[in-house]
Amino acid sequence: MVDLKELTQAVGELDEEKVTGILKEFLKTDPNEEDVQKVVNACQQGMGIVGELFEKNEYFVGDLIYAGELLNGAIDLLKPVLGSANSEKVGKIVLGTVSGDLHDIGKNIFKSMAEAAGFEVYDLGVDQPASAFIEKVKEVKAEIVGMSGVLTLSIESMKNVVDELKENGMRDSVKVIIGGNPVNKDVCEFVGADDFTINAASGVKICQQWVK
Amino acid sequence: MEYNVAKYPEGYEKVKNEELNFLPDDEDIRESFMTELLQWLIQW
Amino acid sequence: MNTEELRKERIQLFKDAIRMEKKPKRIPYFGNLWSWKIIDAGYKLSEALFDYEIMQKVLRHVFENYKIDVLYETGWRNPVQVTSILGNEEYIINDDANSINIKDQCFMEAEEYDELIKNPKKFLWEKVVPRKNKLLREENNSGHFRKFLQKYGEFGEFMGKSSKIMQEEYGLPEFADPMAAFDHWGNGYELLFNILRGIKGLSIDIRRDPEKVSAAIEALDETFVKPRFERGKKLPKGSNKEYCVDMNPVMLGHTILSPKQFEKFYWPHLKRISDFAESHDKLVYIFAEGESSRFYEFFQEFPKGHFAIHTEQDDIFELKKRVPNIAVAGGMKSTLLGKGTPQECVDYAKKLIDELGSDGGYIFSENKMISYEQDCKAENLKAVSEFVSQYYL
Repeated sequence: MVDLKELTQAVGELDEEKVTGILKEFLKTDPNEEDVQKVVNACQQGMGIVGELFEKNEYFVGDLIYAGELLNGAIDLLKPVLGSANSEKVGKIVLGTVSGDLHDIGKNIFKSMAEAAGFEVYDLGVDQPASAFIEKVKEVKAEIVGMSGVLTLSIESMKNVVDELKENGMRDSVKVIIGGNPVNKDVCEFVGADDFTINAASGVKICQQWVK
Repeated sequence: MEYNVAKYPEGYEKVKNEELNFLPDDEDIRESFMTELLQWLIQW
Repeated sequence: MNTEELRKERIQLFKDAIRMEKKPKRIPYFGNLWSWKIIDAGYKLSEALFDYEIMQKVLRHVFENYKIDVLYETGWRNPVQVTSILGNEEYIINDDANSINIKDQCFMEAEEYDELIKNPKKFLWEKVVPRKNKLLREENNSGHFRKFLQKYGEFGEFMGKSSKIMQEEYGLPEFADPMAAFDHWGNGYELLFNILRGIKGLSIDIRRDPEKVSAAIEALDETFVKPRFERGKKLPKGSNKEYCVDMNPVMLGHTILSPKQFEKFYWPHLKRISDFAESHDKLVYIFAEGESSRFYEFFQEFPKGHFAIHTEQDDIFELKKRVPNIAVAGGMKSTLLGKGTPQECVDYAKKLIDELGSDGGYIFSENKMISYEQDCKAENLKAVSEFVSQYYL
């Protein structure tokens, strides 16, 4: 078995070479499902460190993007042995870039960090109308709705989603978080969201507090 | 005659020397225009 | 005052604001108005973007309704008439939603750094230009290219005409010299960030192979930036009297960097501009997207009285305090313009001018690029621009 602490630390330090090295050694040992799960958890804890360092202003947006890439690479390596090993999910998030906006980089970073934190993320994609959010929330019984946008026009679209949630009587059963370049406290109030974030790391932290 | 503009240096030189008749016959001016044009093409 | 005197006065207001040598007559208004103005003038985006005459009506609409001192974007931002002729599909216009999106671009693979570094012009001309412009992927494409050159020329004519209307009929100056201006975001780092590798690709490259990134920036700067500096050095010393500022870099890609990475990948370009501004006594206006407070130590190195930074998301009061050597621009919140009342907007405008402008050093503007309908209410812009044009310190 590999040194899980070392692995967590290597992910936290964004040391891609080391992470890959450890994982390749691990794969050679023909690991069982339980060990694979431990290794996945260690990687996810590493992402938690990345998030903390971001909050401390030691990492910046580029580092988060790189971390997402690093984690995806790690999961890809583990895929052959991952099997049906399903870790327990801490909550369900319906995520999408709202109507009128085609940007998805921020959304994708959030997605990989939220998944690393144990959430099941249903990613609707970009330019999604309110109805797509509503339907998905109903279908999967999500606890959280995450809306992303880069353009200021996305603010109006975010508000539409919240309004539709209200009209469908669903507003009280979900938490709503908005993220992206144009959001701030004022925008959050206008939209009627529960919280906002301009970075994926603290966005995930907010979600974690909601499902505690 | 039709040709492939997107070859370097052939297409690039042909544009510079034959298509820019609104510019004076001055190598420096033409090269400088081409550089700006190249940047415009990738930037916009 | 006739329009020519008005134009001269406006130029002077900007220069005084950046020089910070005396109390300004009043605070100049930099109109940060983008596609919003098309909708405000009653047109659909595609109508104006595909018809220069309509775009000129849009410009007139702005000049006649809002008392701004500079209109930064005069129809050049989305040159779809030119780009579409080569099959470029980056611009996505939706007239129902009154929205325009520009796709995230990534026209170069990570494996292609060596090719770019070896011969930037060859790589860009043969690989990137056709990737971006689909009709140039055809074998015999010179016919398409001729049509492009014609459209490019028409676009230039439109820009010239617009500038003439703006200056001669309305007394608004051109902001920066289009010939000498250090092109908007054309340095090597920004090209990698915006066009070649994209935000994701570059973030990864910087971690995986920083030396290659540095070499690529250098090769691109050698190709595009160096010739501009060479031309700039031949210009007479002092700020050009025909324009508000001499250089106008736009910072977009710094948003992903740590201070350490910034020092390595971005600062060399800014330092070059800074040294040139100091030695040739030029004025520089930087638009900095996002939040930049982690880079203030670098900004503090700019020579006093030569730089303005237009911040999109910084706390502008803090910026002013911590980087006293530069003028600051922006501050008028688009959320307030879009959702507030005229009185609330004017109150905030007054606060900005009182707190930031007393020693000069402040240029009034919207913090964000006003692009969409809900970014700003016409009545708010009217009230604010009226106020700023009449408020003497």
